[in-house]
Amino acid sequence: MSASLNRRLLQSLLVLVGVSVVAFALIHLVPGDPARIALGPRAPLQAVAAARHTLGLDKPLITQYLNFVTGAVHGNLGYSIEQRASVGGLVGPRILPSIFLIVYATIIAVLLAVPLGIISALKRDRLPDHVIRVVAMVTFAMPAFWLALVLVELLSLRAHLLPVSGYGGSFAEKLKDLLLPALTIALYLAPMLIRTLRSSVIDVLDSDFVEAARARGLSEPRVILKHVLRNASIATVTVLAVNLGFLISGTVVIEVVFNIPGLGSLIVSSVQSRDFPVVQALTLIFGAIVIAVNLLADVAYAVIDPRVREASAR
Amino acid sequence: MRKTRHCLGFVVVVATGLLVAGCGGSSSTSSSSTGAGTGASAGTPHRGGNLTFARAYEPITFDPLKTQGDNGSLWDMVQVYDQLVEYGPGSLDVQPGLASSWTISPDGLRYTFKLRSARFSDGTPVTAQDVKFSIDRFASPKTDAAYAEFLAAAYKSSSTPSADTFVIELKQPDAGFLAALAVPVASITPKAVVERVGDNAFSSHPVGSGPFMLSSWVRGQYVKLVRNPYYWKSGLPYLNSVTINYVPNDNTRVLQATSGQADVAEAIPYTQVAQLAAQQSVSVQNAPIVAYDAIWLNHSYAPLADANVRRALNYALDKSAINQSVYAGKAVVNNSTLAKTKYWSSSVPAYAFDLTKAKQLIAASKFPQGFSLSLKVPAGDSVYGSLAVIAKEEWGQIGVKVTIQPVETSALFTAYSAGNYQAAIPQPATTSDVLVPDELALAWLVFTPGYQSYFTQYKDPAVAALVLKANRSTSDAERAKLWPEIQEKSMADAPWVPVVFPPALTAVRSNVANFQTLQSGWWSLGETWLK
Repeated sequence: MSASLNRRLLQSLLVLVGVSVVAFALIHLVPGDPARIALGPRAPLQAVAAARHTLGLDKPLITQYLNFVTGAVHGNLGYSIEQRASVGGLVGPRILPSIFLIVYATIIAVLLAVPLGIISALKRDRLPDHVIRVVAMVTFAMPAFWLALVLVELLSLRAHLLPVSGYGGSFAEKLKDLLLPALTIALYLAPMLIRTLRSSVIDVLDSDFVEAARARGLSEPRVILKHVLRNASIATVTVLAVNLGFLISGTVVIEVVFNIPGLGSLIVSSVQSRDFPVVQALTLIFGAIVIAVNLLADVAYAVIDPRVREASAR
Repeated sequence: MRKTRHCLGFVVVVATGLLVAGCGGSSSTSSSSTGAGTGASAGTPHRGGNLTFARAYEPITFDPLKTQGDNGSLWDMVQVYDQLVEYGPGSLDVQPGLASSWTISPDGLRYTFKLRSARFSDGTPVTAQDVKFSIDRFASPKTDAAYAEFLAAAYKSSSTPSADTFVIELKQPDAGFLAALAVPVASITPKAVVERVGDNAFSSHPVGSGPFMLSSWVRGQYVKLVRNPYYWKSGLPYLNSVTINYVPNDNTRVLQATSGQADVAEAIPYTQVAQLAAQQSVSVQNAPIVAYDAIWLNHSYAPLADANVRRALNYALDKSAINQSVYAGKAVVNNSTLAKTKYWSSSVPAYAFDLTKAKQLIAASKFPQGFSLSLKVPAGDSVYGSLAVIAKEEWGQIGVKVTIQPVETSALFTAYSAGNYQAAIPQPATTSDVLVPDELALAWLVFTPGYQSYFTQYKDPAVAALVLKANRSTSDAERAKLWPEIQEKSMADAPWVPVVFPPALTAVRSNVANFQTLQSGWWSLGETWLK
């Protein structure tokens, strides 16, 4: 397994380098002079030129890129023009809220999807299955920002159960404040998991070893949990891993709507103010997170599916 | 989502002036709040509590000399600092701040301030040396403080003849100078602390003599201000603390005000005013501030060099209808080439909507067949986007074929200031913290090589001469006569297309008392209390 893991790590590193090049290039292709924007409309030309020099904007692009990468390797992500603070200092406190939100949303999605997916498969083409599939389709098809507003209207403004936005101090407050945004994301994610799980469960139910298990006289719950779910979950983990990448971008909208001080809301404001050191750093971080999640998914297959383990051991 | 409002001017401070005897101004227009139940001085002030304030902009620094002229920083910082003079609610005049009184020599060159006894939030007294240190730094070209070159252009030197006297000498008379001292950039800071901790540390750990002091600040999230126990206005502030949350999303701010998560929310979008005001526990204050919305014209584009064309464009835009449909009827139709500051005259007519007249003017111009015109607007801004669509439609009727070009905000101003535009709304909102017209007039109506009449290339030597005369006048009566004349003369030439004077729309919940927006845009939070 370690050889294949090494290969995957190397691939990941190459992808990360690609991400850094794209992040660096994109922000420089967009018009607008960061030094001018930082100093304001009335700054004299000499001051703008001086700022460009301080920021290294007057150097050749390749030098700027190498400085960026060298800094990043040493943990120095640069200096925010707009905020006048180190990028590391700005980004650091933003990581936890985003991770918290994504993990929270994933847990909710899994808690929703596993029972519903199984019920849907067991009651295939009967009423419960139809209801689950229709509801899932509807929540999946709704734009996230709109679904968020509907939930806020119902659960916050009418029922007064949850705050409309925010990010509390204690763990319990965070759980409460982030419930609506996490639920919004989960309602988008869960339908995909339900569909995948349903079809996998149906496939597995038809397979020989399930019949064999039943023939051995195992109880139905035991068959479902031990044999069916384990085999059906492989495809679901894949879907989850692929979608976690999308989720990270999905949180951008959700963080803005719910005013969560995470990486997503930071990248929105940084793009708007053309604060390119921050945008570069965040692009790199987002890239790294997606790559890490995919790596983790590979490891997870191996844990769940012995065939993967054996294949890579060879 | 996030809009940076750039101030064009100076800025200023906080307020508490009701307790000060002998305020130095005469005009006291009451602020036209349309909100119910939050009127000024309703009931007996109650001491204590925390006010939660949802702001659309976040601070970048608390160092008065390091701002970019951004209202995110300036309007928070005024709660922490005092200036020599300051603005009060509903007034366009300065009133005593750290200076309890002042005299101006008859030639207008010497300002003598009597300083009151006050303390910084660390308990040390505010001395004449602190004042000199702060004003010298503000006015020094080396500091490069935002806009000091406009505000303090006339500054020569200062001195401290006695422990409670501070004197400023000017190079030439500048009638706008006193108002310039009321801006946040001219805040008084403690010399010893600034020199000990250095600029960088000071910008996040400020010490001032204002009603509040900075207790904590988490970038991108919130600023927490707590009462300054040494504040010189006795009994103030009423609030124990103010939590200013950064909530850049318009909708989220509205929801926070609706649900009570925020007591006050700034920058309510025009489209949501009616809905929000319908809530029982929330009112939307519509406060006049010194702000200006116009479509700016580049006179180096041949058709726009012709005054008849510019007048035609002015006549062909229905500003009243725009006010109703785009600004929810909350703005005031614009009748000036300057913002609605002191000396603004209501008797100068705005260009009325008159297509017949506009067509005649186009026919009499050098471009009787019309021409094409690109109009650059901030991308994604629904207010200016709608405004542009109306302009396109209405100007089309006089043969001006408008192409709307939405440009990303930061790129837009870069293009605009480089003269790379024909017509434009170059930035989200223009506000001024100086409540006299001098600074805007010197920047917009007097051509200077670096600023080119706000990059329009507009030149009118007669108007420019009048502006300089008014700015250097030492007689208030003369200024009161000259400024309306300047307004009238420059409007006749139609250098650009004034649209409306936009207001500040702030949602205030019914548990908040005496929340007031000053004409400079910020708030007298020192006098606000919770019921």
